[in-house]
Amino acid sequence: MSIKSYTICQTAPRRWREPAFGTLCLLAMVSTPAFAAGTPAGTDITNQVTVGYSVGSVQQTAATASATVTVDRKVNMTVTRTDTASVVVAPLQQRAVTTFRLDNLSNDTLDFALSATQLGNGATSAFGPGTDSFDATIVGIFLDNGNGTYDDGTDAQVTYLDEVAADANRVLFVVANIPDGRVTGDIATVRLTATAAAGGAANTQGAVLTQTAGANTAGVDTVFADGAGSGDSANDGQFGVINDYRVSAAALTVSKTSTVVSDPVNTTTNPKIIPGAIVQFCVAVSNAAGGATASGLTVSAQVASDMTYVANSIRLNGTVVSGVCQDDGTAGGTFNAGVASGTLNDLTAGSTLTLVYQAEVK
Amino acid sequence: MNYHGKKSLTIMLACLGLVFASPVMAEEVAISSGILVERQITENGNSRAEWLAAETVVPGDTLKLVFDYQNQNNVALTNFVITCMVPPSVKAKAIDPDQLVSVDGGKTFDRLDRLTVAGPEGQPRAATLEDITNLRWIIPQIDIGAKGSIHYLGTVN
Repeated sequence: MSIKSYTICQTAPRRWREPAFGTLCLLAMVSTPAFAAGTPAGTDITNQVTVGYSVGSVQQTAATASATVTVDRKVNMTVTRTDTASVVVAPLQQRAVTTFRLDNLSNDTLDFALSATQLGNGATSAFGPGTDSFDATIVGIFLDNGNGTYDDGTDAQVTYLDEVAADANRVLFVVANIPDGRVTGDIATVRLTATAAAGGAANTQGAVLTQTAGANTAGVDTVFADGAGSGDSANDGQFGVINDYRVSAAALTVSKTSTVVSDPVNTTTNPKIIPGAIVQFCVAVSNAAGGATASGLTVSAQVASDMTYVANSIRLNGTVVSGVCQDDGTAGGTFNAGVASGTLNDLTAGSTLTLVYQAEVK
Repeated sequence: MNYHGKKSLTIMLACLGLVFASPVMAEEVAISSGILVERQITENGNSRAEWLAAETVVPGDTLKLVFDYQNQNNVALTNFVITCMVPPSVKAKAIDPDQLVSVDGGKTFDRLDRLTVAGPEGQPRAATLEDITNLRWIIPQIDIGAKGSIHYLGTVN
């Protein structure tokens, strides 16, 4: 605060029942817009008093006096994660996005320096269950263009927020690449921290603010009123929050079984693998429970050189019941260069689909 | 001094502990205006509120807006009326039910519970602390040499 002024003034004598408050009344009618962040820094608060009195029965000159203080800069902000659950990622996923929001609760326009860091293994995660277990590769921090959704190639990468007005907010994205070799349930926890910096100059980050220490200064002082975030203390001009990338990998297993369907001698009754016998092969792909849905699954099976593929015998997306490959599925797939192949439907966690084909023993 | 003659009124301001260096003249009434801020002071593990000179003021602070007066004339003053304007960025925090207030910029004064303001659709509604624009105190008489102090509390928006 700075003590701005003391004023002494006198107004013309008036009759007592018509006090000379007209000017003051007009001033009082000028109201300041309501700010959730409060009165803007630099605003004067003037304690103005007017006195009227009589001596004997004679009304005396009305007088006013005032003292003024200036509202200081109250620095307060929050950074929140707007994801309501861990961001589910797959190994090798590129540019996975966690979403944050900064609210400037200060009574001044500020810049905010930004940093995104990885927490160490074992650190408490944002959502759990479990703790941080790996590091994603942070690509950068990106500023939303206003639609609330990360737009790759459109949203600008930033290292600070420029000229955030009191009560304004910004949506931010931390973008990271996920390494290979992670399994379902692995968590990479990232922290986004905003540090208050001086506003006032567009397109350049102002100096990081420090709290005015010691005695009052002539200018607008700075008071830190921020709470304790993740990795920072209350009243330090910083606020951090964590968010999680959680791996959901598809854990696939493949099994291949065969059944003799018929032979030229026994036909379908207890057929044996003799030349001319028809054998049905079943390639079953299972996705373990708890993981991610696997999509775009292409299954290929080499037909043995001593067998001949039975034309148009491929069936896709059949089922396995109690460990037994069922004689179901729909025709499809291709046979080329000794390989029977086809693309299965999306395979949800905990389910199994098959590719079935037949071949004749040479 | 002939108190029926022309009065030379000098106002001495002493605010925030800083005495404004006005020359001492034949003052008849001295008034001063000041602003104090409430701070929690912790000593020996005990916290208490103190009113300090308003050196650092931020939104949410509670202020004590103070007026001191003294009759330095050689006659009694009557109908001593003190009127103040609530700063636009301050909201009166709590007032005595009998306190005279204005919600129309000082045109009319009455108890708060008797005042109304226009509601969002033009319908009158009961005035609240947020609506107060001015406060007024009336002191019937101030004897020779008598002095006093009044104040109200406000919250910085």
